Amino acid sequence: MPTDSGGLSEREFNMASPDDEQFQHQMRRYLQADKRIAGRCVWKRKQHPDYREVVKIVECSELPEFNGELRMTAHLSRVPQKFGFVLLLGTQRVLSLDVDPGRTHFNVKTLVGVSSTHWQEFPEYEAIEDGRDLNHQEWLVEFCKRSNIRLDILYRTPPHEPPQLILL
Amino acid sequence: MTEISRKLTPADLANVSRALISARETNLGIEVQLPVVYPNGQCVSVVVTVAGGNYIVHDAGFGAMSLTAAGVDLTKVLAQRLSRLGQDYGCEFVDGRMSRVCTENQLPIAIALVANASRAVGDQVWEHRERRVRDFRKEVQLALGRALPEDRVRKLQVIGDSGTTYKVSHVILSADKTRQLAFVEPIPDQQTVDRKFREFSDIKITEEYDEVARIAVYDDKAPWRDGDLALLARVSNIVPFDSFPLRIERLVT
Repeated sequence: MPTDSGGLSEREFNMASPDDEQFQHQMRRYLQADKRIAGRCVWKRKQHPDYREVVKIVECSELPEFNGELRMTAHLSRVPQKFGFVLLLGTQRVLSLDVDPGRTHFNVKTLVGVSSTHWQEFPEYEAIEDGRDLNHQEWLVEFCKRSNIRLDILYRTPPHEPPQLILL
Repeated sequence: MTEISRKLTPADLANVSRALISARETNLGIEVQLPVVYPNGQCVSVVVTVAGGNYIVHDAGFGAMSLTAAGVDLTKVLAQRLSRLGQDYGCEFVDGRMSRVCTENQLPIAIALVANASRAVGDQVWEHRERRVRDFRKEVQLALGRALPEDRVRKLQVIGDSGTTYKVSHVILSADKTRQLAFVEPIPDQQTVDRKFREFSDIKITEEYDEVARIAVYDDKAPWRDGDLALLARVSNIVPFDSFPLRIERLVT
């Protein structure tokens, strides 16, 4: 029976340090493997009225036991709208994209700040700027291209309800 | 590393540190970015607005949003914990937003407190470190899915002899689906043994399930103490994951 976590038990694998070579190999393999998300794109409010989220299970026939999901977040009222995409394995970030974050990101290794749209990838997570001006759906397509995910979802734009400018 | 070319003064360091703080007007109010950082590397920014003659400093839900992006769901229980955490900073955590009401004179400290409380929300990701990158339960489920048609495997609630209700992970049915052939439980690690031992021993003495096999599929890549597997063997058939497909085949033919 093929289980593909490089000879590690579930517990060992889940507890492995991100610096572990075997763990890193599997993470890279997961990122490169063919994946798919399907179904509807439902923006949920949950316990946080300030933003909406979508969580989609990522199917991966090559590594089916891997627990992948794509999470999208979008701020409801901020202009420009701040939104994010992240591919997670459990709670381990594999790839993320922050669009119009509206604040600086500190690269902890290089001690350099990045203030615009940027990507981060396991294991370094160094923020790499992306100066393109795309809409949400176009960014989603870019994200899925880079993470090798086939998009079979019924796409919906995130809601955006900016209030009037509040003057002090 | 570059060479140190001159002696820095306290004023130099104060100036460069202050340069990390910026403020700008947005549609939310005035957003102040501070040198306070969420675990994902993003700086914390807070919003200052006016309502009812007071200033309100809040994080516009950015702290909770960083948690969601890290794979941690803002459940009611977590929201309650964050509410208590906010109180330690003199702030309120309501509807995923950290905030504080203050006067103009109190603004600098309120801004610092809300920013740190918001970062503390983001820090909750460290409380949820269990990654579950690989899921042994899912592997067992997939192995069953490969060996049997979907309608021959289901989940079931079973009442043990003690009256306790157990959710059996997988029940294998006969070809005509009239009989239960086996209860299958994945055992990913030592921590699961006690619970599953109790479940199987309670079911074992229940007359109704006399004819149903009890299979404990354990992760053969995990380190096991002899005692754990011996204990499970008293109340079930213990099967290493490697041999599981063969065991199912024998069971259903």
